[in-house]
Amino acid sequence: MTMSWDIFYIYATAAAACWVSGTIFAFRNQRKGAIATSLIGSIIFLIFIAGMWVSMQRPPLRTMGETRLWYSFFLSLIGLFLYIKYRYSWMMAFGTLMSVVFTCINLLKPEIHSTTLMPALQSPWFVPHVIVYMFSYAMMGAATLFAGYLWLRKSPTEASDEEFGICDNLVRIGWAFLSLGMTMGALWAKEAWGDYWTWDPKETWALATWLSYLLYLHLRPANKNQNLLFSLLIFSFILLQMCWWGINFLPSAQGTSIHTY
Amino acid sequence: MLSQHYKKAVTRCACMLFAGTALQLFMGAVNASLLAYPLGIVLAANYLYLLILISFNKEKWKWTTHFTGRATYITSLTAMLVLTIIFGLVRQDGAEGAMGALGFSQMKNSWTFNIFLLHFTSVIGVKAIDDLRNIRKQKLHTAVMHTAFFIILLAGIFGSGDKQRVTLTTIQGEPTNTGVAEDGKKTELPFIIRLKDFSLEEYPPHIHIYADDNLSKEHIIIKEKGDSATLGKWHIECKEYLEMAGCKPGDSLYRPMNHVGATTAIQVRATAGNDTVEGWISCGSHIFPGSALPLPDGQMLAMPRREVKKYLSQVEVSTGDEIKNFDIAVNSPATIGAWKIYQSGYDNARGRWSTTSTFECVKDSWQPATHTAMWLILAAGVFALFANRTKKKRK
Repeated sequence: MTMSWDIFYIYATAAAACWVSGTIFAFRNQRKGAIATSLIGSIIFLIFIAGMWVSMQRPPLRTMGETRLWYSFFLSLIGLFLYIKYRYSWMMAFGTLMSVVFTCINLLKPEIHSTTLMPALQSPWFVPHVIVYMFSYAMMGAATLFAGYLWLRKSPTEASDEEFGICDNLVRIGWAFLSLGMTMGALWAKEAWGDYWTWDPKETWALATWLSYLLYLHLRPANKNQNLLFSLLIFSFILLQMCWWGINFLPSAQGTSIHTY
Repeated sequence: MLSQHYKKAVTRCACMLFAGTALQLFMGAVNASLLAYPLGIVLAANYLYLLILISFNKEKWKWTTHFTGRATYITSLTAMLVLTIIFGLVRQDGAEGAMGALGFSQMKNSWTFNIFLLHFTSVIGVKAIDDLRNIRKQKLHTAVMHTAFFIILLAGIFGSGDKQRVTLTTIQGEPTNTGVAEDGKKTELPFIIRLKDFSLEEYPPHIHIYADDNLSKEHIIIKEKGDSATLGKWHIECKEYLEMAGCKPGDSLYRPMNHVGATTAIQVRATAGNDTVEGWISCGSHIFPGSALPLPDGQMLAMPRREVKKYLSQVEVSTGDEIKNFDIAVNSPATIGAWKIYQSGYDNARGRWSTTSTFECVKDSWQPATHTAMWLILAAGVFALFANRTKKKRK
């Protein structure tokens, strides 16, 4: 059977059921069951992505709906990884919640109609550039949720060194991937148009996002002011949203960005 | 409360903002062409020497605190972040008014942005030199990151005047070496390009429903005779598929035609309940008009221009000493000395029958430095994933 968006709901439901079951297992301290079930959910999702790649004869990385597929997939894996590493059930719950939300957005507002790949996108840089960015966005999503939890929880204590450490690691890995994605994009742009950087609105907001997370990483070593740091992380994530999809609605970017999809 | 260091750093930023605004108001936008060879490279060498001096003498020279210390790089980074956000929020169309007067509608050429960028570059430059002087294994990726970004910014600032971009349109069979530079002036290139052949590959035709002056987003793809699919309430079957077709003026019947201007035409049968419609649909070409199939409900089945999959120019480039042949496509430029030739466009009206091809010829003397720095960032980025992670403290 050829994979198509028409049967996405089957894979989405199966994956979401596995992710939710995995989270329930995690809260019941059934660790093996939680890991296995959640992993099966991610594998089901990956099968759909791979099937779409084969049936469309191009990587499913072009439209907003397609990038959201990867975002859901990576978030589920990051939630699982964080659960395995730190044993926090709610981290898996965060990953599951975000993956299911983005899967539901894809079901309700598909934005999947384009099936072609314009010549500029036919580059060896296309797949690594977008996948690296999506993974980075997922890491930053996890960091933001974690920071929000630490900041707003009812417990009167400040975030501990260990909790700050987890947050720092998420941002550090996410920022390294942001750097990789941005550099790959620059090398690709040079090969396609002769310029590494053209201050296209997408590039400008990608730089703002990158600088904002870089500011967090430089502030952290000598700072534990959680109001400043966590608000900066949430602000950085707003910039990231502007870069990802916000520029499609931003008046200053209308008609000027070549990164529209 | 802000420490004394931060108060000084913020005051410095305020001074730079004031200086940038004053220069913008009295001198207008920054003219990058002033940094053309040899001035750009001479200034870059002196600037680098100055940064090395700062790095080696920062204990002796008090004024070097303008380029070193936590407060300096935090405020510099924050200022760059704020300016970049303004850059993104203000439309970059060079419009006048308050934003235009401050240079924010043409941010990359504004004095304020470039002064802060130069300061930011200096801070990174000194840090990179410090890192390289005191390199330690666990900070290798940080040193590489600082150095690579410094090289990129250095090349971007001082190499901005050296970059040349010339647009050149060639006609098949006719050698040419004259294009148009970014400032609109005719420019002679140090090589001659002759377009030997141009080819264009298209995606299979899409059939949409046309209603209320809009094409539906939903569509079906027809690849060959016998294909069928459902579009809206209509079941559509392809009765005939002609990759190269034409029709007589006023006629609605398409016939095979192997000639310049031939277009794609398909004969379809659309069925919905008791309604059946049959006829030809074509996207048309520069010679033949397109054709849509009217449906009983007032809508039409239409085929927009086929989307381009790939286009390629086979060219012969002569430098005087030698003649080289290249296949130039998007993402696959040709290299001639310091020049790169990029596929940029073709005659859109003629589509696959285009006999012209447009190229962007770019000379970027600083490219080797920037390119090396980019690959260093990729290496440092990968290394950063595995290095210097905060160790988990087990309770």
